[in-house]
Amino acid sequence: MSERLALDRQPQRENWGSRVGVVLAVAGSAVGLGNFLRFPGTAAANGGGAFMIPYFCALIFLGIPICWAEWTMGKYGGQFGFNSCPAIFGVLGRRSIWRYLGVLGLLVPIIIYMYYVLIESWCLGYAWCYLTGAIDLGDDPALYATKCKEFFASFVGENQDGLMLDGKIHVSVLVWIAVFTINFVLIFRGLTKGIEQFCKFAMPLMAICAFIVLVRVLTLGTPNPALPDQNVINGLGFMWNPKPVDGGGPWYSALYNSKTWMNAAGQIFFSLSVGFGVIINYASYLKRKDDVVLSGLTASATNEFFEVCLGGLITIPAAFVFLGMAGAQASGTFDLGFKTLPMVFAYMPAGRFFGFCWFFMLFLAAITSSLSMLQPAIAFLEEALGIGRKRSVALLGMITGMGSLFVLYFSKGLTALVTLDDLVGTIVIVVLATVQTILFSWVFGARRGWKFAHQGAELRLPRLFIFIMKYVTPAYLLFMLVMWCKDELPKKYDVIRTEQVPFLAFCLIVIVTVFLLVLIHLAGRRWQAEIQPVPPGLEDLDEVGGRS
Amino acid sequence: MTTGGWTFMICSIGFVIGLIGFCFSRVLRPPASGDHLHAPERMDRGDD
Repeated sequence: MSERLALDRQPQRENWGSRVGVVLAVAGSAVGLGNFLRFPGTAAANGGGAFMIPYFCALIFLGIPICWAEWTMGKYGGQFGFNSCPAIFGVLGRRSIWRYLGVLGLLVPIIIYMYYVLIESWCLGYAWCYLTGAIDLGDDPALYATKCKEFFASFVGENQDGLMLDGKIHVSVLVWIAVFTINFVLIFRGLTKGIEQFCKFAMPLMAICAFIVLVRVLTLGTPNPALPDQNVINGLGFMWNPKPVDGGGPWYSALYNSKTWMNAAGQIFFSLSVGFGVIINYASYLKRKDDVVLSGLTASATNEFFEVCLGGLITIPAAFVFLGMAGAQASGTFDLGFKTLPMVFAYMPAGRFFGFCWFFMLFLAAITSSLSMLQPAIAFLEEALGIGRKRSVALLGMITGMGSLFVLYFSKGLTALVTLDDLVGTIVIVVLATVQTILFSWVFGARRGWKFAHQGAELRLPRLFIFIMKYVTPAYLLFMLVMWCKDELPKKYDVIRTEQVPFLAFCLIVIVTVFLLVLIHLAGRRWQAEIQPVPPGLEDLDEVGGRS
Repeated sequence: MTTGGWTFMICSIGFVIGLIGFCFSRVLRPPASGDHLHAPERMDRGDD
């Protein structure tokens, strides 16, 4: 193994400016709407406090090990001068098939960006509306629910396709253009001056906004003396009291329910942004002596802080205090975030200010994630086509802009958005995670990966990591895939076959995939044209222990 | 809120705060010798 694929030498290779910068960038990528809206609802519906047992098991035995594997793979590929998923997969797997499978690491962030930037613009739009007083639910609490739904429907064009592009000026469209532009300006500035600098500023600001809302929620007491049971303590109890999932039996019966464990693992999996192709890309900008073990753990811990300590104390208790049990049980991320919580802010004293803080915080959470979705594709276009940042940013802007317009146009019932999320944002992520787990553990070798992860490491990885990555994680991911194919695949197939917008959304995914595969094919020739020796310090990974 | 609820809430939040506190204390700690510390499995051959 004296020769490897190599990239044309770039004139000046990008690197992270500081350890804190890369940790905050990865954490920013992971922290998103799911931390504040999905986690509390999932926990409350799956045993409350009892849910935290399978949740932390999944974090320790599934989420963090996969994160470490992604950090390690990314840093390894980066030593060969590669930053894109297909190239790194090619280096790790040494066969062209792995390069083509790397298309998943581009497809996931590109497609998700197309609709995520829209949701991000809703958050900023809502924040702007709170700031200017454009959200006014009136004085009659009986009409709050209806007005919230109507406001959301008109804001996103939920009642009719094409409403957002009917020639009139809509605030939501202007905000979408602004948010789209901000993302591309930041990404154009580059890794250090764009992503890193922004995350260093945005992450603390997000924490400050969340703390302001948290303090307000925890000091609400009993806002309506006529309803003494609707107080903060009972709101926290609704979220944290251990309880059975289906009503009957002791609380620990929740732990006998396989769905509780699956939901906990699913929450961890999606929350940590594993299987997005982002961590691999970000880690590829590390130097050989940079640590990945402590950095990976710190990024995961930061994500958990936002999820458990902030998300777990704000959303459900606030909804419970003002809306009771029925309000706290609102299902779905959009319902809880954009229809239930505005009612809470309408009841809350100084609700306009806290509503602004809340939605601005969600916007920051979303933009740090959306930025991370652009960088893998930018890196790929630069590597594959040999073009500069300006041209790769322009090309990606065109691709994602068209996709985002598609989602914006087919806004009725949010069908386009939901279809893309159901297909790419849910199952392709699991497929990508399965591919990279098999690549890391069985093709590259878990033991080699374990050894390479220790180069520059400030913490020692437990040996259990090798066993988990080889057997536990692939088995779990394959189980998830089989369960999805059994339960969901026939339904999705029927929807795509019979309904127009889901069919078009599926076509969009296919077109982007084919386009990326063609580029990977062309890039493969470029990458194979230059051969270079294995970078110093990597060849000895095979000497002791070898592949396993 | 039940005793169980308090227990799960305090333990969960305590665990996460302890973890993030430990991690950031290590990340922000200035390196002792201007270089990273290395774990026992260090593979550095000193050739770069």
